Amino acid sequence: MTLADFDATFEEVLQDVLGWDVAFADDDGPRTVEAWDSLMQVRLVHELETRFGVRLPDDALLGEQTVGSLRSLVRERAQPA
Amino acid sequence: MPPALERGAATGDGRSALRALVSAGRFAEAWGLLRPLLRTRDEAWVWSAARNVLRAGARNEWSPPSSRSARLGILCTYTGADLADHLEIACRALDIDVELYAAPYGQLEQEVLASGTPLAAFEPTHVLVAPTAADLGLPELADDGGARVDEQERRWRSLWAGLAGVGARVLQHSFVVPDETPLGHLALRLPDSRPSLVRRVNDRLGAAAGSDVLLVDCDRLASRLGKDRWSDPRLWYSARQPFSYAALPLLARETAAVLAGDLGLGARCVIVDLDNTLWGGIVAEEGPGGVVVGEGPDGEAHAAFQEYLKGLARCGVLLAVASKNDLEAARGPFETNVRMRLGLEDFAVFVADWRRKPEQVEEIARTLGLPLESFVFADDNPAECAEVAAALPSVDTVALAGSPSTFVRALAASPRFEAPALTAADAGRRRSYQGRAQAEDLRGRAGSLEAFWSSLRMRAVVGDLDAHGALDRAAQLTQKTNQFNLTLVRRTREELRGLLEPGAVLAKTLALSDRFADHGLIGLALAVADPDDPRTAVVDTLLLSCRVIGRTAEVHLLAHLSRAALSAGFARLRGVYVPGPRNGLVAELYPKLGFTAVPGSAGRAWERDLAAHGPLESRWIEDAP
Repeated sequence: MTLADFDATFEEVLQDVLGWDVAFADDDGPRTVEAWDSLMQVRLVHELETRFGVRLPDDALLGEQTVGSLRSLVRERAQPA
Repeated sequence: MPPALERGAATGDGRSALRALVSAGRFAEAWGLLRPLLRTRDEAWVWSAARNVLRAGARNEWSPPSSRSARLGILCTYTGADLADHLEIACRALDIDVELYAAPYGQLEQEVLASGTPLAAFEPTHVLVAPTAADLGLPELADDGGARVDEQERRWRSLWAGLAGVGARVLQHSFVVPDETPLGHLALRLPDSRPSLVRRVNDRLGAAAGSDVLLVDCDRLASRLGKDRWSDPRLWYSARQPFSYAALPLLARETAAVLAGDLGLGARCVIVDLDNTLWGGIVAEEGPGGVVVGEGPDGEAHAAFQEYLKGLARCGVLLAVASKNDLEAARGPFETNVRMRLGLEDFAVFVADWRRKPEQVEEIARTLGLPLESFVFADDNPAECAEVAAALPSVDTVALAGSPSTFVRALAASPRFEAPALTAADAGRRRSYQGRAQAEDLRGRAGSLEAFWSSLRMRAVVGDLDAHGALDRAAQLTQKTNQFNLTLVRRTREELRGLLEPGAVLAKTLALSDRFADHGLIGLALAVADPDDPRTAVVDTLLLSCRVIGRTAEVHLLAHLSRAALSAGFARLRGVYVPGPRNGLVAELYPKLGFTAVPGSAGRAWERDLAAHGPLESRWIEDAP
């Protein structure tokens, strides 16, 4: 997977879960995105894991996360070229 | 799946196509692509896309077309938000306009047994009770198993009784039998092991449900998916959600299917192809004895598919054939091949000619007098499925692709075959529709309509609603009847029973037979006193099953109703018509029967002066002795 593919898929998952009409910045999170509650975070982590075939640590489910922190967690594991 | 979307899904184009439609505001088209997928597919992108289409549509005051509405309360013992979210999508995909209320989790008895709760204020038509096996509080091995099972039965039954008090029908999720047990396979031999006790609780609830509670067999669904895929312990511990995201679409769809069945949206007829569907090979080439059925791997699979269809027929689903063949050749295997499981008598309509499939399907619908939404079309040829889906989008299509060994599973995956209950009428329905098809034939030859009616030698049994079994069937009729239904008032069994109690209602049911068939209980009429004019009886419900439309059965029913009204002291009978999407054919019923328009009713109410003109007379139907 190239880095461009990775970024496109990552964005796609965010939008599928949080809304097609939303654009995201790296420091977006539960405080800035209306739909992003704890349940949405669980769903988001699950979708990222499924789409990238990775497993994130359990605290990704419940801990305070942002678009940027999730992106690095997934990128470390998916290792796009 | 529409082929373009199927290919697109793999590359992301399907999703982009949907996004493009949504940003162009073409919600109906996007939904039209998604709706068939949601009915069979579990992929997350399909459900995410549906959520996004519905959300964007709602912001633009668009909502998907629906044919029934429901107010569904959800009582979960766990975090139910994801289930509610998926249920809304699943209901929409099955044409139910649903309003949801999800109670805070764990608030079961509190919401049901207390008075003035938010659930009661929501006025649900249905309430889903969704617990998990963890709520049963069972040890791995109990020393008081019987008492624990009794206690659970009491708990859930008292909840059901409370919900009946709120006026809602109950949908109950069964308990998933736990897969991990330290007892291993020994658990099955011990009636008081945790897995055995969960099974026993499910059995008790199944037996207690009767026709009042709709059970969703979650254990069956979990087994189908595989129990290690069904649940995700991490989700349970971190979010109190007992099933994985892989399980949610299936659970939501099947729950919605049971609700749809209760609302009268289940399929009423499966139309099947013959060559390479019911048997292997082409009958015109192989001959009636040469087609592959009953022997060998493919033959056994075709036979199993026929047996499955036979099972559906026993549950009240009609079977029909739509085949591109010469009629004689198509009938051959049914008449002479002893390995066939289905016979010609199993089919309500048999169409074999050289027209396009959509035309054949339309003819079957016309012959049976059923709307197109009532049909599921199953064919091994994907092109013919696509042709039917394109020409008649309200017909559900099942493409039987590949080996015949997959056919049963493909048809069983359809969410359209959930019947709320088996009624005595289901057993006789097939014969009745066959009778209708023969009667249609006769109509072609009988000359005048009067001669046709007279040649049918129709016999009626008019009964009261409290007769044994009549309540279930009458409720089913109010739920399912769309065409010959003057007021479209839908009622559950409980609501009907409630009406009867004070004795303030005149109620008549009609069972009809003719020389071809016994149609069973096919008509219902209810009349109540006009609150402003106690000498006028208002026909609150008048409906007939499609299969007896055009037989003067309504006259017979009104004749009995008007006689009952006269003896109850009423001077007038008032009929009303409430227009709906498909009941246009009865808009002029009352004026045609000589009722006079009520001034100022805008063509919606008519009266007959019973005191002056007496009851109506029925000329073509005799009461059975």
